[in-house]
Amino acid sequence: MNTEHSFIDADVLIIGGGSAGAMAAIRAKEVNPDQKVVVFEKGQMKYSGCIARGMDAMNIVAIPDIATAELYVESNSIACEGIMDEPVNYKMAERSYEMMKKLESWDVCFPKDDNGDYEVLKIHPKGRFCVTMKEPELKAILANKALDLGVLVMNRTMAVRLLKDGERISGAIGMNVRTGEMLVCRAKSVILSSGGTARFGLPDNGHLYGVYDFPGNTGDGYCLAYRAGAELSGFEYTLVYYITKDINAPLLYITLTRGATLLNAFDERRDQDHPNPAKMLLEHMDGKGPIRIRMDHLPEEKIKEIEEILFTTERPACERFHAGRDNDFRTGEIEMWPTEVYLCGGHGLTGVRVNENAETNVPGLYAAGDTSLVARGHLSGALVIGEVAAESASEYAAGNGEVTLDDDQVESFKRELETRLAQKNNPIAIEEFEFKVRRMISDYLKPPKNEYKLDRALWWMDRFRKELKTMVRVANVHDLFKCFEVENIIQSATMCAIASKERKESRWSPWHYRTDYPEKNDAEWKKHIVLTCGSVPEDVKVSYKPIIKMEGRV
Amino acid sequence: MGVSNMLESLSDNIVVDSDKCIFCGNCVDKCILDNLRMKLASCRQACPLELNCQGYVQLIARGEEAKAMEVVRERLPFPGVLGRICSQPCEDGCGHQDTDGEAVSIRALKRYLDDQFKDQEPPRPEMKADSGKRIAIVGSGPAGLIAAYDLAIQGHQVTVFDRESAPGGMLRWSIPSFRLPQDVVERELKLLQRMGIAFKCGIAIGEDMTMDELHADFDAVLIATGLWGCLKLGIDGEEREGVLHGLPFLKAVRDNAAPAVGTKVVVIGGGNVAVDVAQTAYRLGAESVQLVCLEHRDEMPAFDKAIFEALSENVELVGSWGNPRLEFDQKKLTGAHFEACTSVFDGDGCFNPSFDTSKNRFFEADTIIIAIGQKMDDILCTSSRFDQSSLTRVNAVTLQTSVEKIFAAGDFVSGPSSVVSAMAAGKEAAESINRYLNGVPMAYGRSYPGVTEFEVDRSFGSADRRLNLPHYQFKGKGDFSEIEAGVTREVARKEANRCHSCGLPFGQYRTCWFCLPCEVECPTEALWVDIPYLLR
Repeated sequence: MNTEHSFIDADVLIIGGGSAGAMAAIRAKEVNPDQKVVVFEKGQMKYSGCIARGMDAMNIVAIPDIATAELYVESNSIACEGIMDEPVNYKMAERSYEMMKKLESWDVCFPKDDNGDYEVLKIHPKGRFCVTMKEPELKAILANKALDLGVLVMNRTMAVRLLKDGERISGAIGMNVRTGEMLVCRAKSVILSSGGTARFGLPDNGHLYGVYDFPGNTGDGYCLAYRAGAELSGFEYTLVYYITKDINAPLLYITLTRGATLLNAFDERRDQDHPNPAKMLLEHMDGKGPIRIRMDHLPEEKIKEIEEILFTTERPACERFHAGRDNDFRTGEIEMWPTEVYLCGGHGLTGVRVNENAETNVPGLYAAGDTSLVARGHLSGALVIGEVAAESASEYAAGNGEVTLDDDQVESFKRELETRLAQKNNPIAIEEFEFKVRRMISDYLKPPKNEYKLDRALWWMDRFRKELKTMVRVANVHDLFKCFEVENIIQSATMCAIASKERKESRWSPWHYRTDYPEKNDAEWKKHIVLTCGSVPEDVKVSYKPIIKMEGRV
Repeated sequence: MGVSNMLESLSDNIVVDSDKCIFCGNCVDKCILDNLRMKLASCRQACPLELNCQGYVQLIARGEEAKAMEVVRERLPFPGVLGRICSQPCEDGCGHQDTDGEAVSIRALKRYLDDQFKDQEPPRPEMKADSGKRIAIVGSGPAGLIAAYDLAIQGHQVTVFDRESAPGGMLRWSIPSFRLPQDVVERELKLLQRMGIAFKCGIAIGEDMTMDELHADFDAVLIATGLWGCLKLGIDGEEREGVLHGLPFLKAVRDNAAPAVGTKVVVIGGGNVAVDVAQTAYRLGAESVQLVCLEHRDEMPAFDKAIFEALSENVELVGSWGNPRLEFDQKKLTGAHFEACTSVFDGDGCFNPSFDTSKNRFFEADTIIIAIGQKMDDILCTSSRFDQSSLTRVNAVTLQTSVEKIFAAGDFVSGPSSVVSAMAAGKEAAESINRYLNGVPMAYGRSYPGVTEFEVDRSFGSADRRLNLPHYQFKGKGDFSEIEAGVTREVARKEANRCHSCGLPFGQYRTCWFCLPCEVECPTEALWVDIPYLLR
């Protein structure tokens, strides 16, 4: 295999071309058309990331006269049970309406009623922020805009290491997932927007890629940041959602807001008292599930509306799934079930710590989207913080001079590559290995948790880290890049176990629910548990950071 | 084939209708989770230009000639040229070679498509906005022409220089018009002119302009000058009357200035030029033409098809003779003495003929035409700071020379080759130049080969015999009519139906997330994503 590498220079390097990355790329070119913006995208940018096609809503928009950024901060803080830094959330909410209008100017469809009003739903504890979107081509619109502006997209390129020039980020090493070629990018600033660890626990359906969120998200951004010295937090927020059984596709609010009813296994209604995934999950864990959605009482036009949104935007494959089970919403039900456990900044509180300028604690390094910790930022967070990251990164790139690449760092990685490629005669296929890693993650990290289980998780992850080298076969480039992905999954699991162990309380029930510490303890634990890298990646250092309030708020 | 890992037991949820699929690979290109791969038909594996042969052959079989032509034109703006003179590696690679030995006539089918649409102006390809970048291409032969086309599509301003009075390189000035009629070349060149590519003919770089000037005035330079020098034997009498050389001979014929040939012609050489010369000699009035070469017939570098055609025109092939000594009777050439050649290549496989000097033969001739090979002529870098031989050495992947903005492709780099290989090189050079001008790493992620090892299903396709290529038997002196004719619709579709259609996209890695861009991007709605069985 060719160990010669290719080289590219950038002012702003964006790792991950999903919603956040695409928006960051666009913004970087808007603020400075002359700067060189490069995207490393593991798949193909036109359709990559969680929003492969479109979305049915922009979950957080503070529309004037309907809601304010202050209300959002208050509301989300309740949802996060206080573990939320306010300034970055405020900024996100403050710019959310502007972002929506920007998308509209790009012909993204936000349906209006006869009065010319948007459809705004209440999904947060306080306030209506969720604006219905009906745009099946959202991702393509974003990707094409970035390309039109002259962004250089390197598809099929997975970032495997960040490079540093002293304390400052100096770029990244990318690897082509189809050819194994290396691409070294010297960059004055780097934005991490490669999603969370969606491919984490093993889903009940047994399909490695049958997860709820985008399966290409294997914690790459978290691990890149971690190894580069960034602070990470929220790894104890082990998310389990509650959505359509087996196919793991979402559909709650679209149906409930149009009058669908929710029933548990005993036909008891659950749609009245503000249903949400957490409540439904608890009921299921109590043995009263599955919860089902029933729509047979709805008028034809409502059902058609629901079908139109569900079958065209976020996961259009739903249509054939239901058809395959002879499930017509007019007569049948939709069965829901817990998803696999996963880590995410968009739905949860996991990620690389950023301030309101999307800055991490590492000079030159920024984060946005599910990789960053904004706190349940969803798509709005990805788009707005993506823009903010681009603005900050561009400013930094312009004002901090050149960076120098350290050839030793590149050579060191090449040696690592060679070692992996020498694993061609090992006995275990990477798929088999991944299956086992993720099964153990499900066994031990899926809530409810206790210290015994968390320690077992750590034991297994240590073992897997070794077996990745000694047992797993790397017969071709496909195996090789999967190894890097699973390495990141293992690292995410280690960090998750350590953070979960550290937080000796229960919070965000049922997600971080510990049977050995079943009560919430604000006095001791209303703070962030922060992880940083020790001398080697397996040496995870724990510290704390206080919750940051807006100035003047207590 | 046993199960190699648990994945092999999982079903592939991607359903492809092979009667609708045109094997374009859009789905593979867009699959985000790296699942889809293309089982690449063996014809495509063999084509240097990576044409989607399976695609256009199957479309002809389905009666969709217009779509078939679109498929060809995605990579090749010269179907008329290659449909006639391509060395057809695709047919050598056709799966039929392993069974009945009768390849699908892929080349003739390409020519058939050209015939169907030759009276319509081909659509101008979609071209990007002006990049402001200027590219000089030296040489308007196959490599230079296709590079010009591809670079113009990328929005660059392309100027093609050629020292001859009209563009085309060997297509226009060497290959005989009975193989490649001039009007076909001119017709296909028109598209390039419509695209705004500038042709500056009658300008020889190294004489009328220098490489230094090109280097200074343009953002990138592509050298695609081919090989126009002819190798000489270096024997006594080689410059005397009655003794000619292959390339200048063919060029003179194409320039309407054919030299006189006598009645008894001996052509020395075993390559394509020699064969072209031999057939041309008959058309200039020779009564007998002998082709004398070092090699046995099987060793001759000329294309099999050309040799076959020459034989059918009564060219006498006399192999295994060399080391000629010309004989003159005063001013007149009377013939040449040859020695028996016992072997052409030595133990290391190098060209190193050995002779049995005790075995001699005299060949009577009043005209001898020497066509023993091509070489570089060396005017290109005259009066410039560049060194020609160093410019022939290029990076194997990018075709960039040691001078940053100079690239080189075709016979200039590779030595004598084929038109399709020259075009393939021209295409690669254009890709490199475009990347170079856009600041994209040149070598990175250049190509993703499809799956080349797979079980071939031969149940599809008819068991008919291969078509008979319609041949035109020339009538004698002055008859330069095209010797191969096109086929009818009926014959073409029947031939296309012999194709096994062996390639197909499939979900190789079972990593489908059913996000559906593959379906969205499929131009023929041939692909359907079922929910993976485990989730269904």
